[in-house]
Amino acid sequence: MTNLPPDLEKRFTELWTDYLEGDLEDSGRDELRKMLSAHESLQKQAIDLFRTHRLLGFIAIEDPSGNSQFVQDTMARLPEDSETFTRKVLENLDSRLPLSYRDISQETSQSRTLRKLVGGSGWIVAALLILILPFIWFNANQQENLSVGAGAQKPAGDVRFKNLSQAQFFGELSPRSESLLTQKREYVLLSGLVELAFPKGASAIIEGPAIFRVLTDECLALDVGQCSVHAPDGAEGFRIDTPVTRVVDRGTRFVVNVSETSETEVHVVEGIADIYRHADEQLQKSSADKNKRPLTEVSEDETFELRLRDQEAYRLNEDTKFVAEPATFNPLIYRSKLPDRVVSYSATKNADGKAEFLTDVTVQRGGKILRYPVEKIIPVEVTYFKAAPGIDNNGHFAGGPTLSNSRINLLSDRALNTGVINPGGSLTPLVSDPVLQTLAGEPEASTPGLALKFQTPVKNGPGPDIVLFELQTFSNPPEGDRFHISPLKFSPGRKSHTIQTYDLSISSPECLELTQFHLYSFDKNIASLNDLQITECANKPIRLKFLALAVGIDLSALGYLPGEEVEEIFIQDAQDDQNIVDPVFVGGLP
Amino acid sequence: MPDSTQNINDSEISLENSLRRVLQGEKEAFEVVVRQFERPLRAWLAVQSPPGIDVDEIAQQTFIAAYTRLEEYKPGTNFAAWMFTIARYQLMTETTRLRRIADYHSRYAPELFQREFDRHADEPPEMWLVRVESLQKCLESLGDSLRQYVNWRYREEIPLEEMARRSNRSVTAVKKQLWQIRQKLQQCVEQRISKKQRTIS
Repeated sequence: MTNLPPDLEKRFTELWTDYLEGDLEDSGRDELRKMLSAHESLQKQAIDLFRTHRLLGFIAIEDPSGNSQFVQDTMARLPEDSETFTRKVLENLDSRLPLSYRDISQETSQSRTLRKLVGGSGWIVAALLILILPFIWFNANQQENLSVGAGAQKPAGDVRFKNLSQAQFFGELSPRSESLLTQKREYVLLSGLVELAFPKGASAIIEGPAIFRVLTDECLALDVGQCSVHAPDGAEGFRIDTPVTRVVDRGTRFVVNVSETSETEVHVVEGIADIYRHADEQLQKSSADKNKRPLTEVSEDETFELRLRDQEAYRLNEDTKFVAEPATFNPLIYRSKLPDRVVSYSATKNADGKAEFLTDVTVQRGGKILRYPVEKIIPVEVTYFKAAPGIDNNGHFAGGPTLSNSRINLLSDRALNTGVINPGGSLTPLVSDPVLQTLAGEPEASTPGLALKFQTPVKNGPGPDIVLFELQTFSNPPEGDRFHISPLKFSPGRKSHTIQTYDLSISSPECLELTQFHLYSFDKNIASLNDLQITECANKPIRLKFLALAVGIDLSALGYLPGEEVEEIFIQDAQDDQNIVDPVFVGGLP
Repeated sequence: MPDSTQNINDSEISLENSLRRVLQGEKEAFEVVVRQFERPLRAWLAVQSPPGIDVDEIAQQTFIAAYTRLEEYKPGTNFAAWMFTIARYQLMTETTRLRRIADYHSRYAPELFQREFDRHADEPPEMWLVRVESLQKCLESLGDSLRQYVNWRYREEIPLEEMARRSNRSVTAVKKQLWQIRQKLQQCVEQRISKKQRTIS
């Protein structure tokens, strides 16, 4: 029970019961929201009761004989063979479209098909969309896989993934940079960014969440999401198709944003772009007066064409009528390049063919791609360590079959499978200096975490200044273990920074699988560097597949000025889940 | 201990054999996978899913995705972890979709406890099976009259008004009774789990 006033407790009981019973009114919801925001103990109580409620529901429908019905239903839903199944689903969907629409979608627009259906039939079809989305992905993926073996459906065209940044695709690993896209295949980008390079020089940066397809070497279909296009001289005529418009480049930089309701906004940052209603394809070949402004609403029998110039923006939509209206131009939404980040790394291979020692890191800094041999990277020394209270069963060292006397140096070497792992942390990042020394008898006063000192100071340059690698397996968060990084000495302007997503996450093909290592665990809490250095520990070999994830850290994010030098940093796990950051290599970029 | 180790090994061998048969085209062999994982998967989804999600639908989608993508699984590695990664993606996609639906927030107010959900998103699935088993034991220890309310509410899914009529009480009293039952069960589960942990250590 909580130590809250009885009246508050009683009111919470009423409101939360109403919530679980589906009886909570708007006013009650607001009251509940305020109550939960103000009292963390109520949040915990609420979630515990919600989970008990859900588990009671689960137990109630459980069949003691083994849930045969669920098993049978699931088995009945398995495709006879996946390709046939996907084709049947899509054929069935396509046959439900109006003929005129099918005529337009000569380019096998699966997502547009689905969007139409979602728009028309609401919930039921939305559920269908969720059901078949994995199969759309799978179908496309299968086609890609088949093409390798059969040579029948190679990725036609020459459009490539030029760069990727924290890109997470639905149900698949991220592609490698420089890999070809398969034409007409649907790509579902959940988060992050990808840059596509088209053969005639056009480039498109797409921001997740987005659904897109490459239709030809000069045409990208964007069904949902935002895309910044640059078409230099020679790439004129490059076009972006959205569900309602066709934007044809006439030598320009522009942004197209398509919402989930298909509303499309076009912002021209530089040059000229022509916009057509998707259905008016024949107009692209005409050279009518494109300077005329359209009607706000365009009826079925009218055509629509619009020429946008520098710093102009338009919003277009088609529901019962095609509607076009000026929008406020926003130059800030144009993205000319991907964010600075760790792009890739290389490592030596052990006898088992898996990665062991880091050899170099490639980083984008200030927009430039730079490769740093490991010899040039400034190593760190562990100067402080304190774990979270209790015993961490995964221990605090990753290492070889034995530990040397200088075990804390495991984070200073170049091996990607050795490090000082599972430091303590805090849900909220530091706002003042960490406490590293305490009076005898007050060990709890010191700050949980890990302090690192660079061998020589690291200068705050453009983009990432520090690289951190951690080991991660597939049952851990795919984006990496979140952590805070803070100055060891705070001063006005300096602040902590939280890493939420690694530049190279578990779905990045650039992440290398690590050779085998051992974990060293302790039978007591490790509250100091001395404990870490001298406490006896047990060793267990790890056979699971682990990858080395990487992230770049910009010292500017910690409030350091350009050119300022940094000698020490402090790292804390974000303590937002049971997964603790496992650093295996940290280094400063020269 | 030796017996349970033997069972685990047998079960792993049986699973790997079934997966190999599925890859060779024997679709029926996938039933072993569904039978082995449906309970932990559905229990995990039941507690990890925000309100408004059809847990069984997500569980079935996970199995179908695992079946269609089985060639990507590396034999001998952790199949459970591989499949739960798929489940996590399926759940994430469905949650994202629901959040974009206009009346989802007004109907379910998922933001009320989103932070707590996110904090527990990575809890190991096996933990929730222990909780299910503890909850079953706790349910058995409830008196018949209290268990009747649980049956009405969760098995028969009858409206509160009907429960009030059957028990000859007011709707408010029934709500209060349900709250007390949930809280009692919650405390009982916590006690059982902590007792189990003390026994192990």
